[in-house]
Amino acid sequence: MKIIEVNNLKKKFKDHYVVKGVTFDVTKGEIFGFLGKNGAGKTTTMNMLTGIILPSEGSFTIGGKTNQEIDQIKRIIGVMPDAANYYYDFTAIEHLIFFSKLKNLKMKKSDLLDILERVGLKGHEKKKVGSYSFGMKKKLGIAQAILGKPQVVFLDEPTSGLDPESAVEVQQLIKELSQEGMTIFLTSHNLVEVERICDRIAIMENGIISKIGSMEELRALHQRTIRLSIKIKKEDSFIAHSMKNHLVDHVSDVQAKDQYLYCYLYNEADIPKLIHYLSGQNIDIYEVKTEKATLEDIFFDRASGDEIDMIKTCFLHFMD
Amino acid sequence: MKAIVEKEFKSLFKGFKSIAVIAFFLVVCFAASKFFSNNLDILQTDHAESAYVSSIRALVMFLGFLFVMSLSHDAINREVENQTIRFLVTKSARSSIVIGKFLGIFLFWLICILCSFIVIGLFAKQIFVFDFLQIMCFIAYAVSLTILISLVIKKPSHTTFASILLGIALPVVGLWSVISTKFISEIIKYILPYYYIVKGGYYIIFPFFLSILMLLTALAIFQRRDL
Repeated sequence: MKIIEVNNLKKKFKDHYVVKGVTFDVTKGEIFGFLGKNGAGKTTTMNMLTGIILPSEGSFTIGGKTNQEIDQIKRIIGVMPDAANYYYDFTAIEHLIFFSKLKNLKMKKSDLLDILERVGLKGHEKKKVGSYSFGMKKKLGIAQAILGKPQVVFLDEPTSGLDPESAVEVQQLIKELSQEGMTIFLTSHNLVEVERICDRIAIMENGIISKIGSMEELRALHQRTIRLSIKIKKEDSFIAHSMKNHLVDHVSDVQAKDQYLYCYLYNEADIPKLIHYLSGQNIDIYEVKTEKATLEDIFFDRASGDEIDMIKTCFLHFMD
Repeated sequence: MKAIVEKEFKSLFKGFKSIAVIAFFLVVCFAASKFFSNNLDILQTDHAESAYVSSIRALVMFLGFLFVMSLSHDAINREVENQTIRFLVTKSARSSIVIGKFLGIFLFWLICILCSFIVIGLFAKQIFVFDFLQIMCFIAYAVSLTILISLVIKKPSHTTFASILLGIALPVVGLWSVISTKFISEIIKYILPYYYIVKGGYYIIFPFFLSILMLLTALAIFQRRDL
């Protein structure tokens, strides 16, 4: 079931489109990661979905309510905006009391304390937020976002600026919230984090979504799903060339460098065929390592870089 | 909306300026009422009843804008500048934020004016309901204008300046428009609340309508603003 459906959403600031038309959907209960470099438009998209800014064009629905019914959407979402400040003369518990009243939630003080405990702020509830560290403010941001167990939780860079231990705790909390049935929409710069916790990922570049899907789908799109490093006796560009010609349906590319052959395969089933071919050519194999394409590879589109390298290599061979 | 009303109301009571304003109102009303009760011969006129409320009426007419604006000029733009508005706007309807702010500030002044009228009532041994409503209509106008200015002018530092300027200029211009016969004053007198106060009676309902009009304008601006 789709809980968020976004259709050709655009945002124009003065004469410049920051978001140039994004279309995607998010399934109920999934953790959806929104990735992008600074200025890619991911926070602007999130701000449109949460009512902070108004879309210039396009539409969206959240929980069946359209963007024209944004006030009803606010009842079913929780939001941790990236650029937002607290009332520094308020304590954490005062913030939660105020925010729960804003959302017309009837919550007991003990429930609010439970939420603070859950995000690791137990014992700090009576301190003024002005004295909080950056990390503590982030945790309070998550606490206020999950008040009343909303259907969809929007988190803008929830772990940026957190120490590694706190970041892992927050990632664990996000997974727990998803298991409890909440849909999580998060933006992040942390590729490892997104790869670790997100069910589906959208990569945004220059105001458009360039790639979207699960990790497996993104790897498939990336084509070079598996990278196999094979250690042989000595550098052998002839065998690399031969493999590319004879295993054209199984390998997308083979590069020889030092004692290694770097083979890019379409799927795991191709590994035995490749080993079998090398054995048939009397090549001694000393070591085999497989690596799946990481989100970092996909994000930075490493394949394109490799292809350029490959073209350069071919060009140099041709000149020789 | 209730939460915003409550927060705005309480935050006004926290500041030193607010306490000073309430104290000032009470002291002036107390002193004026005591003066009138000790000099009953002054009250043997056609306007005896209104003599008691003259002090608070003068206070509100001359200093009402200045007090309301200086206390609440940054009601909305401060939240936008500090980005606390992002927590409000993702949890509550934009209309609730504007109306909540209006009601919170209005409630503060309602309590302040009510206390002043209680002091006056104790001396005069009379309840001045109509005068109270008249002054509250004026206050509603001042609060709506303050909210509108806080939305139109984005920087709180600019509204600090604007509130002082308008707080002084509006009573002067307003009272001048009532007595002047120039064409421009004919327009201004219908926009500002002073003409209706001077006319008295049910004319006082007009500042209240103007207040609603300004609040609707503020709402329309806020609904279209990126935060």
